[in-house]
Amino acid sequence: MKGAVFNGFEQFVTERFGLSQWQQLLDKSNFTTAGIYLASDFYDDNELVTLITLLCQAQHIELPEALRDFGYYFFDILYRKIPPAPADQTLFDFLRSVDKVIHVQVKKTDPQAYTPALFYDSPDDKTILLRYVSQRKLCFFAEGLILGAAQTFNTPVDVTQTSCQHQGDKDCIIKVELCQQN
Amino acid sequence: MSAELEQQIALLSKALEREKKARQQLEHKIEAFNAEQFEINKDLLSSYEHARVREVQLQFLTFLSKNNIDDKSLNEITHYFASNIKELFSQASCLIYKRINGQIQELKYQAHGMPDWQAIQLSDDELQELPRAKELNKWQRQEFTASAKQLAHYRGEPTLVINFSIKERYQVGIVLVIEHYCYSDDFKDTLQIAANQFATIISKRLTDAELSLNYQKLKSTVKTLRSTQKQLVHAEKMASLGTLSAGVAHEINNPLSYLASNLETLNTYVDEIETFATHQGVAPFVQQNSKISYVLDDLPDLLFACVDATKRISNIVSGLNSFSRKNDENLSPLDISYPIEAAVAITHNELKYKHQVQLDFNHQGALVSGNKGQLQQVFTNFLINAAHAMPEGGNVSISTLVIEGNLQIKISDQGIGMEEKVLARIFEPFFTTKAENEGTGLGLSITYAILTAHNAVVEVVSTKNKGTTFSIMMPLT
Ligand code: HEM
Repeated sequence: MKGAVFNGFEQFVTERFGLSQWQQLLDKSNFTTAGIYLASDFYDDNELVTLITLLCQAQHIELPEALRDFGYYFFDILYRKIPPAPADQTLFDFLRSVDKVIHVQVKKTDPQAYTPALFYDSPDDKTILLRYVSQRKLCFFAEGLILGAAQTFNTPVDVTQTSCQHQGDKDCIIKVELCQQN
Repeated sequence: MSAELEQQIALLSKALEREKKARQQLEHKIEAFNAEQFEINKDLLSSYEHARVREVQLQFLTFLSKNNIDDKSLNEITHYFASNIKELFSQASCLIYKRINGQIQELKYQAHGMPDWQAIQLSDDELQELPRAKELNKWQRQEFTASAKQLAHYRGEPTLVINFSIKERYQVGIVLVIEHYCYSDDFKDTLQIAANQFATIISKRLTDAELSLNYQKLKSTVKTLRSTQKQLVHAEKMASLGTLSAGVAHEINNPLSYLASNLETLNTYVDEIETFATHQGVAPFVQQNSKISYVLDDLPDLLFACVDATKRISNIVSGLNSFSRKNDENLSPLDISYPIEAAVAITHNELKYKHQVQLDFNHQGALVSGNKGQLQQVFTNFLINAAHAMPEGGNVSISTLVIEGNLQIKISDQGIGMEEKVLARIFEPFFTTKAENEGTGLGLSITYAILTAHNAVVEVVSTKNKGTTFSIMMPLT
């Protein structure tokens, strides 16, 4: 995983739970990296998982919840990195562009980057389905990112998974539905 | 906390912020550098991606290639196509229906992971609920209704439906029940390309089938026409031969009767001359004159030969007459066994040394309308001809059978057979393969005339050195 994600997580933890919580996580995990993460470098995925798991234990929260919160928080950081969206772009347009444009761009910038593959389906105007495919199985993180995007686009949505590999299903399918008032 | 300490922390925090910013700027620079690097490789990458997509599409489209479908029926192609499409999805079941004139005619179901197609029955209500695509030859997303869901052991949300119209009123529908339809655009495009390909294949196949059907029809029409024409020509020929024969017979008849009656008178004259020549007073003169005595010697023989020849002519004329006779007066219900058995009895003397006649009657007393005397003549003729075809002896068989309101009579020999050329002419009057003085050549033509007058149809099959079979079809009364 890219150092940038670790940096984002550090920021998330220090902002939400304080610098000492972050230090505590580093102390407990006792990795050789010792909390030094270069944004453009790559680090073991397990380090991030361990840090998040430790956070869950410390704060008495569930892992999916933590990942979702982190995703929600992290979206802003990511979104600031890309050129501003055209004014008429909707949330769904943006979500579609993630796999087709943004992650493609990410890999162009850094061919070593590993982003998930996202496949889309729109059964109707109010719904978009995303099949999340990644070795990292971070579907909850993706849910959080989507919620973050919804916040940024000022578009209230319900995000659920109709099937999930963590539930023993074959695929992770994230369903994003516009809330009724829309 | 002391003020000094607080200040210290604030300074450190600011220093930390600066450090962080500096690091971020540095990393930004590195990323920009990487981007440049990428630009250099970009063309290579995008063309590689392009090639990958094409490869996947090709793989599937070759499924539908010529080799795989050429020898398959329309149903088989449809099953093949649907199964292959189904395999592209990780979990899917599939339903195929044929809709002819708006009615579902055939319903086949292939469960997830199963290679076999099962026929299924649905109630009218359930049929109503089957999804239909609104546009032809396009995959469409649809919701499955509750009962249809049950039918397909359905779990997921979406359904893919496609309808192919093969003919105006003939549609094939494919319903894929899939777990989800979250696939790449390329994948979806490939599905559509496959559908287009399939539509082309089946429409082409149908055109081919139609063309070949038309061709077959045309061929058989030409064949019927040819044989009708042949029959017509034959009937026409026989009819004109009949008219000709009647004319000839009539023309010959008059002089023939003069000839016959004059010959009779001549006979009595000759008798008188003979009596006169043997008279005492005349006899020595006659004996002296060798010429006169020779004439008197020869006269009765010549006269006899003349009378015999007139009889033969008269025979031919009556033969010609019976050939040209059109409609027959004396037809009455009759069991065909009688004329056949009579003919066998008549020919017995001629056939008994070298030939056996086998009778096999299966008509169980069914009656035809006929003239016993004439039919007897017909069978006599056939029997004599059969014997002649087997100069070394052999079997002649006559069998009967009732076929759809007709009596079939077959007369077969194991004789020398006839060539095609001969076969075409055997019913013509005066056509004969026998030596000149052996027959008049009227036998079979009279037979033919009699049978035609009985509304019977005669057919001959003959194989050189194997034998000949005449089959006669006569309407039952
Ligand atoms: C709602 C929108 C987005 C979603 C759902 C999404 C999803 C994800 C997820 C789930 C990951 C984690 C890796 C994995 O699961 O395999 C990821 C990684 C990443 N994404 Fe996104 N993303 C979104 C928007 C963005 C944006 C706007 C950027 C802007 C540059 C971005 C850049 C990245 C980068 C750099 C990584 C890390 C790659 C690596 O570690 O090698 N994503 N994305």
